[in-house]
Amino acid sequence: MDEPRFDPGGFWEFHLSGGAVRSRAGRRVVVLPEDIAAPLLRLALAQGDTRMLAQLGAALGAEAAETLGGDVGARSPETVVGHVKSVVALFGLGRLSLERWGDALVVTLDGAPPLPADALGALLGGLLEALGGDAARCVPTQDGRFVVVHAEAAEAVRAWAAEGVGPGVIAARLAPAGVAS
Amino acid sequence: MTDVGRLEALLARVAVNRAKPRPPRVASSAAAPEPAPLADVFVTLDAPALPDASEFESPALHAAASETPALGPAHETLHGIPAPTLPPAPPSMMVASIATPLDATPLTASEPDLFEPVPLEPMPLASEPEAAAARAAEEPLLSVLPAAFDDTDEQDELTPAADFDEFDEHEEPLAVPFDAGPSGTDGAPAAVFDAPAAPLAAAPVSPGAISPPSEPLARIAAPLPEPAPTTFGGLLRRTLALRPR
Repeated sequence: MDEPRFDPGGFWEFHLSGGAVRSRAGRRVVVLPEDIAAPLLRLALAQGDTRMLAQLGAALGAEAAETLGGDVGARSPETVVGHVKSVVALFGLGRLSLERWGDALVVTLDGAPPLPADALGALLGGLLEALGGDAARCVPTQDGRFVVVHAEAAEAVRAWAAEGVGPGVIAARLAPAGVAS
Repeated sequence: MTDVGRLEALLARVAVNRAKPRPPRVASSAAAPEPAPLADVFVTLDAPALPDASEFESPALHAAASETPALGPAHETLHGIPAPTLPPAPPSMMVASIATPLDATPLTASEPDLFEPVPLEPMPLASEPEAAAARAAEEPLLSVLPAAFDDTDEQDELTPAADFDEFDEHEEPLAVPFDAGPSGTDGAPAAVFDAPAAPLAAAPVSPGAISPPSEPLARIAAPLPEPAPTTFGGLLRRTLALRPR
Protein backbone atom coordinates (compact mmCIF):
# COMPACT_ATOMS: atom_id res chain seq x y z
CA MET A 1 0.00 0.00 0.00
CA ASP A 2 1.41 3.33 -0.99
CA GLU A 3 2.10 5.52 1.98
CA PRO A 4 1.18 9.10 1.19
CA ARG A 5 3.57 11.82 2.12
CA PHE A 6 2.50 14.90 3.88
CA ASP A 7 2.75 18.05 1.81
CA PRO A 8 2.67 21.21 3.91
CA GLY A 9 2.57 23.40 0.85
CA GLY A 10 -0.72 25.23 0.56
CA PHE A 11 -1.99 23.87 3.85
CA TRP A 12 -3.12 27.36 4.81
CA GLU A 13 -5.07 29.56 2.45
CA PHE A 14 -4.95 33.25 3.25
CA HIS A 15 -7.84 35.15 1.73
CA LEU A 16 -6.60 38.67 2.14
CA SER A 17 -9.50 40.30 0.38
CA GLY A 18 -12.01 38.54 2.60
CA GLY A 19 -9.81 38.62 5.72
CA ALA A 20 -10.08 34.91 6.33
CA VAL A 21 -7.71 32.00 6.80
CA ARG A 22 -8.75 28.51 5.88
CA SER A 23 -7.07 25.16 6.12
CA ARG A 24 -6.68 22.83 3.20
CA ALA A 25 -9.83 21.00 4.24
CA GLY A 26 -11.77 24.27 4.10
CA ARG A 27 -12.04 24.84 7.81
CA ARG A 28 -11.81 28.48 8.79
CA VAL A 29 -9.32 29.19 11.54
CA VAL A 30 -8.54 32.20 13.67
CA VAL A 31 -4.94 32.96 14.47
CA LEU A 32 -4.63 33.97 18.08
CA PRO A 33 -1.54 34.84 20.12
CA GLU A 34 -0.63 32.21 22.63
CA ASP A 35 -0.95 34.53 25.60
CA ILE A 36 -4.57 35.18 24.63
CA ALA A 37 -5.65 31.72 23.59
CA ALA A 38 -4.20 29.99 26.65
CA PRO A 39 -6.21 32.02 29.21
CA LEU A 40 -9.37 31.41 27.23
CA LEU A 41 -8.78 27.69 27.30
CA ARG A 42 -7.94 27.78 31.00
CA LEU A 43 -11.16 29.60 31.69
CA ALA A 44 -13.09 26.87 29.97
CA LEU A 45 -11.17 24.20 31.84
CA ALA A 46 -11.85 25.89 35.15
CA GLN A 47 -15.52 25.30 34.50
CA GLY A 48 -14.86 21.65 33.82
CA ASP A 49 -15.43 21.95 30.13
CA THR A 50 -12.95 20.02 28.04
CA ARG A 51 -15.20 19.66 25.06
CA MET A 52 -13.63 22.63 23.34
CA LEU A 53 -10.19 21.07 23.44
CA ALA A 54 -11.57 17.71 22.44
CA GLN A 55 -13.18 19.36 19.46
CA LEU A 56 -9.90 21.03 18.58
CA GLY A 57 -8.19 17.66 18.71
CA ALA A 58 -10.91 16.18 16.57
CA ALA A 59 -10.38 18.92 14.06
CA LEU A 60 -6.68 18.18 13.96
CA GLY A 61 -7.37 14.49 13.48
CA ALA A 62 -9.79 15.25 10.68
CA GLU A 63 -7.17 17.36 8.95
CA ALA A 64 -4.63 14.57 9.26
CA ALA A 65 -7.10 11.99 8.01
CA GLU A 66 -7.84 14.23 5.06
CA THR A 67 -4.18 14.35 4.13
CA LEU A 68 -3.92 10.59 4.54
CA GLY A 69 -6.69 10.04 2.06
CA GLY A 70 -8.96 8.17 4.42
CA ASP A 71 -8.55 4.65 5.79
CA VAL A 72 -6.22 5.79 8.49
CA GLY A 73 -6.27 2.47 10.32
CA ALA A 74 -4.68 0.65 7.37
CA ARG A 75 -1.70 2.95 7.27
CA SER A 76 1.56 2.21 8.97
CA PRO A 77 2.07 3.82 12.35
CA GLU A 78 4.97 5.87 11.02
CA THR A 79 2.93 7.32 8.21
CA VAL A 80 0.03 8.24 10.43
CA VAL A 81 2.29 9.76 13.04
CA GLY A 82 4.14 11.70 10.38
CA HIS A 83 0.93 13.26 9.10
CA VAL A 84 -0.54 13.89 12.51
CA LYS A 85 2.57 15.52 13.88
CA SER A 86 2.78 17.71 10.81
CA VAL A 87 -0.76 18.94 11.27
CA VAL A 88 -0.21 19.52 14.98
CA ALA A 89 2.94 21.45 14.23
CA LEU A 90 1.20 23.56 11.61
CA PHE A 91 -1.35 24.55 14.23
CA GLY A 92 1.50 25.49 16.53
CA LEU A 93 0.59 23.00 19.23
CA GLY A 94 3.93 21.26 19.67
CA ARG A 95 5.80 18.19 18.49
CA LEU A 96 3.82 14.98 18.72
CA SER A 97 5.31 11.52 19.05
CA LEU A 98 3.88 8.05 19.62
CA GLU A 99 5.47 5.34 21.74
CA ARG A 100 4.55 1.76 22.49
CA TRP A 101 5.02 0.39 25.99
CA GLY A 102 4.15 -3.25 25.88
CA ASP A 103 0.66 -3.31 24.41
CA ALA A 104 -0.11 0.24 25.38
CA LEU A 105 0.39 3.33 23.29
CA VAL A 106 1.82 6.48 24.82
CA VAL A 107 1.72 9.94 23.26
CA THR A 108 4.18 12.74 23.93
CA LEU A 109 3.70 16.36 23.00
CA ASP A 110 6.85 18.44 23.36
CA GLY A 111 6.72 22.19 23.09
CA ALA A 112 3.01 22.35 23.70
CA PRO A 113 1.30 25.60 24.73
CA PRO A 114 1.21 26.29 28.46
CA LEU A 115 -1.97 24.42 29.22
CA PRO A 116 -2.83 21.99 32.00
CA ALA A 117 -1.98 18.39 31.30
CA ASP A 118 -5.64 17.39 31.46
CA ALA A 119 -6.42 19.92 28.76
CA LEU A 120 -3.73 18.56 26.50
CA GLY A 121 -4.97 15.06 27.25
CA ALA A 122 -8.45 16.04 26.14
CA LEU A 123 -7.01 17.48 22.94
CA LEU A 124 -5.08 14.30 22.21
CA GLY A 125 -8.05 12.14 23.02
CA GLY A 126 -10.18 14.01 20.54
CA LEU A 127 -7.43 13.66 17.97
CA LEU A 128 -7.22 9.91 18.38
CA GLU A 129 -10.96 9.56 18.23
CA ALA A 130 -10.96 11.34 14.91
CA LEU A 131 -8.32 8.85 13.71
CA GLY A 132 -10.49 5.88 14.47
CA GLY A 133 -9.91 5.30 18.15
CA ASP A 134 -13.39 5.03 19.58
CA ALA A 135 -13.65 6.28 23.16
CA ALA A 136 -9.93 6.96 23.31
CA ARG A 137 -8.62 8.90 26.29
CA CYS A 138 -5.15 10.19 26.97
CA VAL A 139 -4.28 10.14 30.66
CA PRO A 140 -1.28 12.32 31.59
CA THR A 141 1.48 10.89 33.73
CA GLN A 142 3.89 12.79 35.87
CA ASP A 143 6.72 12.43 33.36
CA GLY A 144 4.83 14.43 30.77
CA ARG A 145 3.51 11.51 28.76
CA PHE A 146 -0.06 10.52 27.92
CA VAL A 147 -1.19 6.91 28.15
CA VAL A 148 -3.80 5.99 25.58
CA VAL A 149 -6.58 3.96 27.14
CA HIS A 150 -10.24 3.28 26.62
CA ALA A 151 -12.68 5.49 28.45
CA GLU A 152 -13.64 2.58 30.67
CA ALA A 153 -10.08 2.24 31.94
CA ALA A 154 -9.35 5.92 32.13
CA GLU A 155 -10.31 6.42 35.76
CA ALA A 156 -8.14 3.59 37.05
CA VAL A 157 -5.20 4.76 35.00
CA ARG A 158 -5.72 8.30 36.15
CA ALA A 159 -5.56 7.14 39.76
CA TRP A 160 -2.30 5.32 39.10
CA ALA A 161 -0.84 8.31 37.40
CA ALA A 162 -1.79 10.50 40.34
CA GLU A 163 0.27 8.18 42.54
CA GLY A 164 3.29 8.79 40.36
CA VAL A 165 3.19 5.53 38.48
CA GLY A 166 4.95 5.72 35.17
CA PRO A 167 3.86 4.45 31.77
CA GLY A 168 5.80 1.18 32.09
CA VAL A 169 4.05 0.15 35.28
CA ILE A 170 0.70 1.30 33.98
CA ALA A 171 1.19 -0.82 30.89
CA ALA A 172 2.05 -3.77 33.11
CA ARG A 173 -1.11 -3.31 35.12
CA LEU A 174 -3.22 -3.44 32.00
CA ALA A 175 -4.22 -6.53 30.14
CA PRO A 176 -6.46 -7.28 27.23
CA ALA A 177 -10.07 -7.36 28.17
CA GLY A 178 -11.09 -10.75 29.53
CA VAL A 179 -7.58 -11.70 30.69
CA ALA A 180 -7.36 -11.98 34.46
CA SER A 181 -4.10 -11.65 36.35
CA MET B 1 68.08 87.55 -17.94
CA THR B 2 69.68 84.39 -19.23
CA ASP B 3 72.97 82.95 -18.14
CA VAL B 4 74.60 84.18 -21.33
CA GLY B 5 73.35 87.70 -20.71
CA ARG B 6 74.61 87.68 -17.14
CA LEU B 7 77.98 86.42 -18.34
CA GLU B 8 78.23 89.16 -20.92
CA ALA B 9 77.43 91.82 -18.34
CA LEU B 10 79.99 90.37 -15.94
CA LEU B 11 82.73 90.25 -18.55
CA ALA B 12 81.97 93.81 -19.59
CA ARG B 13 82.19 94.99 -16.00
CA VAL B 14 85.50 93.20 -15.53
CA ALA B 15 86.90 94.78 -18.64
CA VAL B 16 85.81 98.23 -17.49
CA ASN B 17 87.38 97.68 -14.06
CA ARG B 18 90.63 96.58 -15.66
CA ALA B 19 90.75 99.67 -17.75
CA LYS B 20 90.34 101.93 -14.73
CA PRO B 21 93.55 103.04 -12.99
CA ARG B 22 93.91 101.38 -9.61
CA PRO B 23 94.52 103.51 -6.55
CA PRO B 24 97.92 103.17 -4.94
CA ARG B 25 98.03 100.67 -2.14
CA VAL B 26 98.79 101.73 1.39
CA ALA B 27 101.64 100.20 3.21
CA SER B 28 99.43 98.98 6.07
CA SER B 29 97.48 96.87 3.70
CA ALA B 30 100.49 95.18 2.25
CA ALA B 31 99.95 92.17 4.49
CA ALA B 32 96.33 91.85 3.50
CA PRO B 33 95.68 88.95 1.15
CA GLU B 34 95.38 89.83 -2.44
CA PRO B 35 92.06 89.21 -4.08
CA ALA B 36 91.59 85.89 -5.61
CA PRO B 37 92.83 85.61 -9.14
CA LEU B 38 90.30 85.84 -11.84
CA ALA B 39 90.80 82.28 -12.78
CA ASP B 40 89.48 81.17 -9.40
CA VAL B 41 86.39 83.33 -9.86
CA PHE B 42 85.58 81.69 -13.14
CA VAL B 43 86.13 78.29 -11.72
CA THR B 44 83.64 79.05 -9.00
CA LEU B 45 81.11 80.04 -11.63
CA ASP B 46 81.19 76.62 -13.14
CA ALA B 47 83.90 77.30 -15.63
CA PRO B 48 83.74 73.99 -17.57
CA ALA B 49 80.28 74.95 -18.79
CA LEU B 50 81.41 78.21 -20.29
CA PRO B 51 81.23 78.46 -24.06
CA ASP B 52 84.18 79.38 -26.11
CA ALA B 53 84.82 83.15 -25.96
CA SER B 54 85.42 83.32 -29.67
CA GLU B 55 81.79 82.61 -30.31
CA PHE B 56 80.68 85.88 -28.77
CA GLU B 57 80.15 88.66 -31.24
CA SER B 58 79.95 91.49 -28.80
CA PRO B 59 83.06 93.81 -29.19
CA ALA B 60 83.17 94.37 -25.46
CA LEU B 61 83.07 90.64 -24.92
CA HIS B 62 85.87 90.14 -27.38
CA ALA B 63 87.96 92.69 -25.65
CA ALA B 64 87.27 91.11 -22.26
CA ALA B 65 88.07 87.73 -23.60
CA SER B 66 91.34 88.88 -25.01
CA GLU B 67 92.36 90.34 -21.65
CA THR B 68 91.04 87.40 -19.58
CA PRO B 69 93.81 84.96 -18.65
CA ALA B 70 93.44 81.42 -19.63
CA LEU B 71 91.23 79.31 -17.38
CA GLY B 72 93.00 76.93 -15.10
CA PRO B 73 92.38 73.23 -15.11
CA ALA B 74 88.96 72.90 -13.48
CA HIS B 75 89.28 69.30 -12.59
CA GLU B 76 92.00 69.98 -10.07
CA THR B 77 89.84 72.40 -8.14
CA LEU B 78 86.93 70.01 -7.99
CA HIS B 79 88.91 67.12 -6.66
CA GLY B 80 89.73 68.76 -3.37
CA ILE B 81 92.57 67.75 -1.09
CA PRO B 82 93.41 64.09 -1.39
CA ALA B 83 93.22 62.12 1.86
CA PRO B 84 96.62 61.43 3.36
CA THR B 85 97.66 57.87 3.15
CA LEU B 86 98.66 56.36 6.48
CA PRO B 87 101.47 53.91 6.61
CA PRO B 88 100.26 50.37 7.28
CA ALA B 89 100.34 49.34 10.87
CA PRO B 90 102.98 46.89 11.86
CA PRO B 91 101.75 43.33 12.30
CA SER B 92 102.50 43.39 16.01
CA MET B 93 100.09 46.28 16.67
CA MET B 94 97.28 44.63 14.72
CA VAL B 95 97.58 41.39 16.68
CA ALA B 96 97.54 43.31 19.94
CA SER B 97 94.38 45.22 19.00
CA ILE B 98 92.58 42.02 18.25
CA ALA B 99 93.73 40.09 21.26
CA THR B 100 92.93 42.71 23.89
CA PRO B 101 89.78 44.78 23.95
CA LEU B 102 89.96 48.47 24.76
CA ASP B 103 88.80 48.17 28.35
CA ALA B 104 90.21 44.77 29.11
CA THR B 105 92.87 44.38 31.65
CA PRO B 106 95.62 41.99 30.83
CA LEU B 107 95.64 38.74 32.66
CA THR B 108 98.33 38.29 35.14
CA ALA B 109 100.08 35.13 36.00
CA SER B 110 98.63 35.07 39.53
CA GLU B 111 95.00 34.72 38.39
CA PRO B 112 93.71 31.27 37.45
CA ASP B 113 93.07 30.44 33.90
CA LEU B 114 89.38 30.88 33.16
CA PHE B 115 89.37 28.14 30.59
CA GLU B 116 90.93 25.58 32.76
CA PRO B 117 88.36 23.03 33.95
CA VAL B 118 87.68 23.09 37.64
CA PRO B 119 87.55 19.62 39.14
CA LEU B 120 84.23 18.81 40.83
CA GLU B 121 84.64 17.52 44.29
CA PRO B 122 82.03 15.03 45.49
CA MET B 123 79.58 16.27 48.09
CA PRO B 124 80.26 14.96 51.52
CA LEU B 125 77.86 12.22 52.50
CA ALA B 126 75.55 12.85 55.42
CA SER B 127 76.41 10.96 58.48
CA GLU B 128 74.14 8.22 59.73
CA PRO B 129 72.58 10.31 62.53
CA GLU B 130 71.79 13.10 60.09
CA ALA B 131 70.20 10.69 57.63
CA ALA B 132 68.09 9.21 60.37
CA ALA B 133 66.96 12.67 61.36
CA ALA B 134 66.00 13.43 57.78
CA ARG B 135 64.01 10.22 57.53
CA ALA B 136 62.26 11.04 60.77
CA ALA B 137 61.29 14.42 59.41
CA GLU B 138 59.64 12.80 56.38
CA GLU B 139 57.85 10.06 58.22
CA PRO B 140 54.68 12.03 59.14
CA LEU B 141 53.98 12.69 55.50
CA LEU B 142 54.54 9.10 54.59
CA SER B 143 52.26 7.91 57.34
CA VAL B 144 49.36 10.04 56.09
CA LEU B 145 49.45 9.07 52.47
CA PRO B 146 48.77 5.35 52.81
CA ALA B 147 45.74 5.96 54.98
CA ALA B 148 44.16 8.01 52.28
CA PHE B 149 45.13 6.13 49.17
CA ASP B 150 46.07 2.65 50.11
CA ASP B 151 43.58 -0.05 49.29
CA THR B 152 43.32 -1.52 52.74
CA ASP B 153 40.74 -3.81 54.22
CA GLU B 154 38.96 -0.88 55.78
CA GLN B 155 38.55 0.60 52.35
CA ASP B 156 36.90 -2.61 51.18
CA GLU B 157 34.45 -2.41 53.99
CA LEU B 158 33.21 0.90 52.65
CA THR B 159 32.03 -0.52 49.34
CA PRO B 160 28.39 0.41 48.74
CA ALA B 161 26.90 -2.92 49.64
CA ALA B 162 24.44 -1.13 51.90
CA ASP B 163 23.64 1.19 49.08
CA PHE B 164 22.67 -1.73 46.93
CA ASP B 165 20.25 -2.92 49.59
CA GLU B 166 18.81 0.52 49.85
CA PHE B 167 18.55 0.76 46.11
CA ASP B 168 16.79 -2.58 45.89
CA GLU B 169 14.11 -1.41 48.23
CA HIS B 170 13.13 1.35 45.83
CA GLU B 171 13.65 -0.49 42.62
CA GLU B 172 10.31 -0.37 40.90
CA PRO B 173 11.12 -2.38 37.80
CA LEU B 174 11.39 -5.56 39.90
CA ALA B 175 7.67 -5.37 40.54
CA VAL B 176 6.97 -5.16 36.83
CA PRO B 177 6.16 -8.42 35.06
CA PHE B 178 8.31 -9.40 32.18
CA ASP B 179 5.57 -8.88 29.67
CA ALA B 180 5.34 -5.20 30.49
CA GLY B 181 8.00 -4.13 28.09
CA PRO B 182 11.34 -4.93 26.59
CA SER B 183 13.32 -4.79 29.82
CA GLY B 184 10.68 -4.35 32.46
CA THR B 185 12.01 -0.94 33.38
CA ASP B 186 10.07 2.22 33.70
CA GLY B 187 12.32 4.39 31.63
CA ALA B 188 12.13 3.39 28.01
CA PRO B 189 9.33 2.49 25.65
CA ALA B 190 9.36 -0.64 23.59
CA ALA B 191 9.02 1.32 20.38
CA VAL B 192 8.74 4.91 19.33
CA PHE B 193 6.64 5.70 16.32
CA ASP B 194 8.12 8.84 15.02
CA ALA B 195 7.88 10.26 11.60
CA PRO B 196 10.23 8.45 9.24
CA ALA B 197 12.16 11.65 8.64
CA ALA B 198 11.47 15.33 8.73
CA PRO B 199 7.79 16.07 8.20
CA LEU B 200 8.51 17.82 4.95
CA ALA B 201 10.35 14.84 3.47
CA ALA B 202 8.83 11.84 5.13
CA ALA B 203 9.80 8.53 3.62
CA PRO B 204 7.93 5.28 4.26
CA VAL B 205 9.57 2.78 6.57
CA SER B 206 9.20 -0.92 6.27
CA PRO B 207 6.71 -2.35 8.77
CA GLY B 208 9.34 -4.59 10.27
CA ALA B 209 11.12 -1.61 11.73
CA ILE B 210 8.46 -1.08 14.36
CA SER B 211 8.77 -4.47 16.00
CA PRO B 212 10.50 -4.22 19.38
CA PRO B 213 13.97 -5.66 19.12
CA SER B 214 14.41 -6.87 22.69
CA GLU B 215 10.89 -7.98 23.48
CA PRO B 216 11.49 -11.73 22.91
CA LEU B 217 14.36 -11.71 25.42
CA ALA B 218 12.08 -10.31 28.09
CA ARG B 219 9.38 -12.87 27.51
CA ILE B 220 11.29 -16.09 27.54
CA ALA B 221 9.38 -17.53 30.50
CA ALA B 222 6.06 -16.06 29.46
CA PRO B 223 3.73 -17.33 26.79
CA LEU B 224 4.56 -16.12 23.35
CA PRO B 225 2.78 -12.84 22.79
CA GLU B 226 0.96 -11.93 19.70
CA PRO B 227 3.09 -9.98 17.29
CA ALA B 228 2.64 -6.26 17.40
CA PRO B 229 0.26 -4.99 14.76
CA THR B 230 1.90 -3.35 11.83
CA THR B 231 -0.91 -0.90 11.15
CA PHE B 232 -1.92 2.12 13.08
CA GLY B 233 -5.47 0.83 13.40
CA GLY B 234 -4.27 -2.47 14.83
CA LEU B 235 -2.12 -0.77 17.42
CA LEU B 236 -4.91 1.54 18.43
CA ARG B 237 -7.43 -1.25 18.75
CA ARG B 238 -5.10 -3.33 20.89
CA THR B 239 -4.43 -0.42 23.16
CA LEU B 240 -8.07 0.41 23.59
CA ALA B 241 -8.78 -3.19 24.42
CA LEU B 242 -6.63 -3.03 27.56
CA ARG B 243 -8.29 -2.99 30.93
CA PRO B 244 -6.95 -3.03 34.46
CA ARG B 245 -5.98 -6.51 35.54
